[in-house]
Amino acid sequence: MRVIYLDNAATSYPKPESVYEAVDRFNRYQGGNPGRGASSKTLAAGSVLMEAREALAKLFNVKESSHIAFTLNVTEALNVGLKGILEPGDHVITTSMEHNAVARPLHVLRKKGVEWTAVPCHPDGSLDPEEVKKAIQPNTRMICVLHASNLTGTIMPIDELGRIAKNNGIIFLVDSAQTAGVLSIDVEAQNIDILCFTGHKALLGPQGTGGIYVRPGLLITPLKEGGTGSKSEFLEQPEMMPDLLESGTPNTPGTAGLLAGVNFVMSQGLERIREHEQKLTEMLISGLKEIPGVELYGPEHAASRTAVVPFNIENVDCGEVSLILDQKYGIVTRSGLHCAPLAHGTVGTLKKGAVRMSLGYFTSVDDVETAIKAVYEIARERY
Amino acid sequence: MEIQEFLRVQGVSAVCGLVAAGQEEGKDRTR
Repeated sequence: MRVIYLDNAATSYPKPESVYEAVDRFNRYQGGNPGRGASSKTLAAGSVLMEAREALAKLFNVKESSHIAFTLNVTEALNVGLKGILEPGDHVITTSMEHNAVARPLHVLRKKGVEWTAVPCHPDGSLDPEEVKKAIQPNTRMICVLHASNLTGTIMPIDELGRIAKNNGIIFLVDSAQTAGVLSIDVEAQNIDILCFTGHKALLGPQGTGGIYVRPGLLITPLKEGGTGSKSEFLEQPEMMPDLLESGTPNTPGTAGLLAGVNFVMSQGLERIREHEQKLTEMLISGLKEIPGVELYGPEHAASRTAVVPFNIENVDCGEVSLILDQKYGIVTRSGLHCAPLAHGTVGTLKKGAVRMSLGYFTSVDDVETAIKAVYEIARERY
Repeated sequence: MEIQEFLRVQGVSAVCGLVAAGQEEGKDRTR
């Protein structure tokens, strides 16, 4: 049975061939621990990190690539961005669509005296920036928003939110887990102070990769300290980026793969990738909404969302639908709450969850047609 | 704090009850 992978919002699959080759090449032929000494292998490994930083800086219009630090994933990056900045007495504004990667760290920070306002979004996940403006208090230190929802794909108005943050002297943090590699991100034009990204979704790199950009001049406390291969004569953690946030041996093989992924994305172009995914998303929405008993969530049109389409079949458990899609049709989806209970609460699916189909650059028209037909058959049998 | 209580306090209106049909927070392994 042919496998149709529609879980790209969790992790993209497959990866470009160049990504597999880059990881293998590093592990098999290069090796070396970057920044540890001056051997040829060490320097070559350091070059991998430097090239990846440069490629990401170009993609996000970061002026100083050294201000991008690599992390295990976007969750780690968000923990650094939130816990490294917010202090007791500070106020942070988010949307009500945030992932647990933001909600759980903020829940911990709240217990330590950080005030948190989650501005309510509409049931399709959309946000009125005016509501964010109204939520600003004298002690508001940060506006933290996801660029697009991992549940509904709803794209947030980050241009306007960045302006609001800048005009009010507030730090602007963007969680680009669902958008880096598919939507344009410009930290300068969009006034982004902290950008958290993952490497294994639309950037097409391996799992275990991600990072954080921190605007020069912004003081941030690391979550961990340790060996950096720099200023080793001091017990204090180096204050310069990226060493401040990069202790311990990094995931160099993974970063080699991430570099290949970013290079692939840039060679294809964001516009082309977005156009492909948007066309397929529109097709999926149009097909699913015609099926009796199917309830769709999120914005009506693909232009307002990333390639993520959640749905339910009336009176059928979402886990069962996902299981049938997998076992009978070979279609990989994700059911449940998607680590986003706040978003499900906003949409109205906190009780029952949803089935999520998320498309990628390697999804084909045929894949989408097959998925629509499969949902139609399940709904016809069960609804 | 329960998710629904948090969302209620924040003014999110589309909240559904979390506990239903034996599904309790943290106990459903599909989540």
